[in-house]
Amino acid sequence: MKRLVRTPWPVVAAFILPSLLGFALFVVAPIAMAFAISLTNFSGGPRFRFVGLANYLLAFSNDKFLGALATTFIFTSWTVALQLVLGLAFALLLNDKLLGRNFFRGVIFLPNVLSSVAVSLAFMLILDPKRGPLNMVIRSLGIRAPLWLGSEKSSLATIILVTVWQSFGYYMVLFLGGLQTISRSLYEAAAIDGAGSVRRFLSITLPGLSPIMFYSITIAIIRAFQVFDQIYIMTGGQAGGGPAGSTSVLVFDIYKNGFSLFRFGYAAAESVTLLAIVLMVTLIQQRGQKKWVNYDVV
Amino acid sequence: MKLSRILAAVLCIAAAPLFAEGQKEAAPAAKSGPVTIIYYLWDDPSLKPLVDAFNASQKDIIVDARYIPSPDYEVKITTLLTAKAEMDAYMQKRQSDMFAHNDNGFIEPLDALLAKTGVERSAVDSYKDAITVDGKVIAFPWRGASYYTYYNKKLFEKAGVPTPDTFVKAGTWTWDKYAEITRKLSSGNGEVFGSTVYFWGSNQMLMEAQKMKPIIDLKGNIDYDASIQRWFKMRKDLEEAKAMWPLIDMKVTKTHYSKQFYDGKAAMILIGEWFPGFMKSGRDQNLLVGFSWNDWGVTRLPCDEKTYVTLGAPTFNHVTSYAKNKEAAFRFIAWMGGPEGAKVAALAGVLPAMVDPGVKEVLKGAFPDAQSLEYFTEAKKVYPLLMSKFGSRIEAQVNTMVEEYLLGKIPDSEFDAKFRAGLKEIVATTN
Repeated sequence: MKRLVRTPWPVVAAFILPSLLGFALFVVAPIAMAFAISLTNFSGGPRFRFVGLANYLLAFSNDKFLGALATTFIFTSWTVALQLVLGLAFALLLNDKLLGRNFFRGVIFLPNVLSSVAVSLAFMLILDPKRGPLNMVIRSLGIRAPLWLGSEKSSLATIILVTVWQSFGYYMVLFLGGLQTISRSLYEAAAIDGAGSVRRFLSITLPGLSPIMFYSITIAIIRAFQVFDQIYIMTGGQAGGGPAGSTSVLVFDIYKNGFSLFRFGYAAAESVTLLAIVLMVTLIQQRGQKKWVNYDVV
Repeated sequence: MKLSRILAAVLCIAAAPLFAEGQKEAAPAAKSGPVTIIYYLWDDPSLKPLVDAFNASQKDIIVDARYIPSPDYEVKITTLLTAKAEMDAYMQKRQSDMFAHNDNGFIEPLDALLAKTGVERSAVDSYKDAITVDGKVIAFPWRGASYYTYYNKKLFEKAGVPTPDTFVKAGTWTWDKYAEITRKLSSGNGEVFGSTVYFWGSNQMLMEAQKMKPIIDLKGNIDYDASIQRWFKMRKDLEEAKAMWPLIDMKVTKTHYSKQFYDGKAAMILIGEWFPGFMKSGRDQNLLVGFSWNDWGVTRLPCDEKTYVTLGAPTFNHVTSYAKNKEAAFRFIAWMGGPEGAKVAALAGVLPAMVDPGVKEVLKGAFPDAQSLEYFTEAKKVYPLLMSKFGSRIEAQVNTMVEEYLLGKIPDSEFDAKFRAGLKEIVATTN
């Protein structure tokens, strides 16, 4: 019998060491430092002291932090839902043999490869309440043009729409890939058994796409919690956050407290809180996937 | 087996640079040539001539100026300082940030350098209160401090309204008169506004500054006037009447105050001492719409107080505590704040920190008439309202509250409680 040959550990270490070092230096170390800074009143220089959990207590009793948290949850809920619904809808549409299918797939995916800063700048000009081309067209139709980013009622919705426009193509591509893996024979068998299109969608397509759906929801939620570029560019830079702070999300509040007001300790506490929330949401999804994610549909 | 060992060795060698200390740069050989200093400032058009003029005026020091876009300057300079980026000197844009920078050890005290070099120091002496912290001078002013009313004579003529200097001479240029004139000058449909006041928090406290009291003193005591709420209400009423440029619109559309005035859409603008420099640039680039160089003027801010007071904090430079060339950096910022720098600043149309007859002569070219120059350079009380360690956060609070107030989210009955609560939090959480 041939003796089992184990790979020598120095070889194993040599292969994983570079990535492991990178992970330790650029992920683990900054997280540990952020947590350490969150327990101090660090303001950028050498003079700071340990304050324990004071920054966390202050954050959870502060209207601006709680408001930013609420805005982040609203933003996340809407963008994730819209991205996935639109991504799935277009994937189903473009999965069929249509004229120009590949062209449309490319065009819908294209915004995803653009820089979010460039997209935000472009939309800022397009959505200018007075001089923007979109409002000019709307006014020419005799309709009252919305204020878009100029109103606290519509500013968050505007940013959600721009974000969704830019990124739903990515989820469309994921769903398209998932649709390719579902066997046609299942649909044929279902059709023979008298299942209509809705029944086929609910019983074959959705379960078949559930692994991709799980991945997409997880990634979309994490990305939505991290939103910053659009808020910063479209609502006034370091003085931004939308009219009356209506688009001030958690990451933007972290940025303002840290880099504009020198409250690095407090900002670090906010960022650790954000990490904890995202981690909790991801863990809940991980546990929940056992109930609805089906890896057996082929 | 042999192949895997070779592969492992190759990977280890590839990873070695991560552990290598890195070759330290050899200490430069002693130079007999000019010293280069790295200087950070923002992209205001009046600033580059100062750097160029200094470099042209002598051969011992070369200023390597690094320009940061103005909207992002405060954040970027803080980031650079925290990271100890290579920097010998920098200009302070939000003056109240000086306290946090000093507290963090980024700024070099200048007393020893002032004594050693014996430079002209009238700018330092004129603004000593504003630039001294814990008994040490930590900044060298180069630009004076003052807010004014700039006005478009054509729009006043069109509306049949006397220009504000008329009311100043009569002693009736009060805030109520300002509001009245603003309404009369506006077209009422958003085409022409009677007045524009930019969205900065400091600009919402012009009335409060004239009370000459810090909102939070050094001991953390809170004391402010009803002027803040009065201004908020005045602003809201004027915006609703389409007499004043909407603050939120300015922020969202990123319309610069200079463009508002250049385009002939604002009959008056209340802004600081750097604005004549913008007017010169506007003239030189043919940006003035509907009026010419001679059709604008400068006068005092509206004021209800018996003695005229305006808001202002000098603009100043610092030497960084970790600068490689401290004395060279100091000589540059002292030049900027001295008589030669003052003339270049005057040529660019800004109020220098020191004004002598020679500087006033140069300033003439930045103004359309002698009366405007007189108002610009007259001796007056200037109060730096936000020059304290609480200043930046007070301004941030005002920034947020003015928008909430304009949107109707803060009723008048709740304003004081909310403002005071915010100030108390600032006192409790500022280092």
